[in-house]
Amino acid sequence: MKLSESNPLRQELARSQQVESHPDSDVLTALSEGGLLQRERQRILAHLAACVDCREILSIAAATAIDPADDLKPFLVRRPSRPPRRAWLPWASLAACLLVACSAVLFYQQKLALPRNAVVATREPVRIPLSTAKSPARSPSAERKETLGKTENSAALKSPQTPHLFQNLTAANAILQAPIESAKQSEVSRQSSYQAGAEVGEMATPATPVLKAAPAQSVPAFVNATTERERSAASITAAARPHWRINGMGQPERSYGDGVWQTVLSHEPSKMRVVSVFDGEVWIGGDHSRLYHSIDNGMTWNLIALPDKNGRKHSIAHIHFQTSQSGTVESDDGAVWTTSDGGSTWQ
Amino acid sequence: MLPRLPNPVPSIPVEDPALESAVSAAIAQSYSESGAERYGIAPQRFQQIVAAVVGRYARDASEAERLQMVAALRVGDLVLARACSAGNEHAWDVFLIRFRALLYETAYRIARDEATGRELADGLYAELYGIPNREGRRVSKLDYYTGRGSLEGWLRTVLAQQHVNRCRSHAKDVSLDEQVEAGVGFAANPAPSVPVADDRIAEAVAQTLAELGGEDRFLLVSYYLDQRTLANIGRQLCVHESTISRKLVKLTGELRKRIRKRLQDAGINPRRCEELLQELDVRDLNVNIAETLRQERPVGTF
Repeated sequence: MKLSESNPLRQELARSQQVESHPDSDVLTALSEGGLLQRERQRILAHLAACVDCREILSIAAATAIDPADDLKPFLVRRPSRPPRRAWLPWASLAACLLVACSAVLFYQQKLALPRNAVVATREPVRIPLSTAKSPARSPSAERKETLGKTENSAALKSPQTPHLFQNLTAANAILQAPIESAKQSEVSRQSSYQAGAEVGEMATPATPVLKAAPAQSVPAFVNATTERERSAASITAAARPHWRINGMGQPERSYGDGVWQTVLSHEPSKMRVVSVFDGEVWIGGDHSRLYHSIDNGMTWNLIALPDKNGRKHSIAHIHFQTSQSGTVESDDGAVWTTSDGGSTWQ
Repeated sequence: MLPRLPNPVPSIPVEDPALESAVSAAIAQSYSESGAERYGIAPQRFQQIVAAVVGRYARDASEAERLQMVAALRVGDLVLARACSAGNEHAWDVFLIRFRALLYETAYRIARDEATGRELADGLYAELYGIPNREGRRVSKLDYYTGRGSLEGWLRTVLAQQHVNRCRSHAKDVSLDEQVEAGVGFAANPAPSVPVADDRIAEAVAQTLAELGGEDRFLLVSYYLDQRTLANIGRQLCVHESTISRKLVKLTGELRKRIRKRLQDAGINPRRCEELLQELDVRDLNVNIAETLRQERPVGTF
């Protein structure tokens, strides 16, 4: 309390009396909420300038008000990273075992000079697309039978290794190694494997050209294509997925994780209060029923015209989308708008 | 569950029932938005309630201002308060759900002590429920709520008011031991007012401050005299603290400019004006501002 302080000026103010009657608590509240008429506001402020009692009450009431920015904090503050958990340990162990096993198999394969065609022939169950190398005249079942026949007749299966384990590990190895190869390496491997395919052709029957290009053309191309697509998509997503916040001035800002915050909607005079991102679409709402929508991470904005309610402008306080089509917008005075078509119409 | 109140307390009496048709239409339009139907408040009763508020605060206002006031009224909170004071159980359920936790949380924040905060909130809660008057009729404090601000803000303000009253009443009951512990007995004498080097400066400062509007005076008093923070002042005026900061900087600069002009008009040459203003440190200027902005003369001794 200010009264308990030893400032003589304040003590003197506390002793003094006020001539004019004090405004109602409701009027003081309206002042702090901006709900007074202009001339009424001037009159109340003139009273407050001369009345330490009312200033004290208004100050305490304002100090206990919940900061509206607190509502935005879940949107503004980056979530703290989770404490390290050991849930990854079994998976890491499994991956390590798989890697060791694959390495051992490769080493054993090279050491024993295992026929390559055996490996190639067993790659078909990995569901690698063979369309580019397949002969149109042959059906998949016929190819499969033929391939299996060749495999069974080959000397590779006469080795003491278990065929299924071998084929699975080899396929897994191909998948594990494929993503880390670049496009250039895949081209090189394609050529080398094409040569290997030629060897297969020499070693196996002429009916195996189906499998010639299979390991080289399909496996790395398929895996690399997928991986590169995912990688590029991930990089684009990571680069294009901005962080959003609303600064203290009520202006929305965007950052791409480099610590630089760029103001968007700088032309908007109204104070923005809430930002919501759902499925790549950004919604920003604020005073005077202003609601903006962007589908390109804030490059372009559409001002959404919310239907008038209660004959006055509202201050949007919450934006919540359950799906990309259906969402709800609420104002701080309880007005609610809903959409079920992605924001085209509101009710 | 709270028992139903015996007799609904009439709210603010209708002082100006003959409102303009536009205002009446605006009130009628806000009936559906207020949710008064849920509490059993008929449109006529709603019209009376809102008309009483408009008549009370905007008696001499123009029609446009009345319309603006009607549009700014928190009619939802207003009908809830009236329904609670009338003893509507459903209204009390809604009130408790919406405001009970907030009431106690605010009381804890104000009192900064759980026991005191609970006592404060309980006291207000009892008054909200209603205290019998001399005639034995229960009068609820919610009748004093007029919907100008939010009900939540009104509860905060009322709590703050009761807390200030409580502190002042308790301050009179401080024992001598507590005063000694607080060092009151050894407190230094009030510092004498800072003498101003030139009386013309004091006069110029006084005249300049007298020209200020209410908001400017409030800003100066709150910041320099009450030593409120910019954020607190900003919350009081529903603006951001940076706005308050800019206003204060602009205001003090303008004050200096006006004072300099007054000094020059008083026949002081510009160089001497600059010297006087340089001698008049910002802190001195603040002190002068504080002294000039005093609300009343000091209470004289008998």
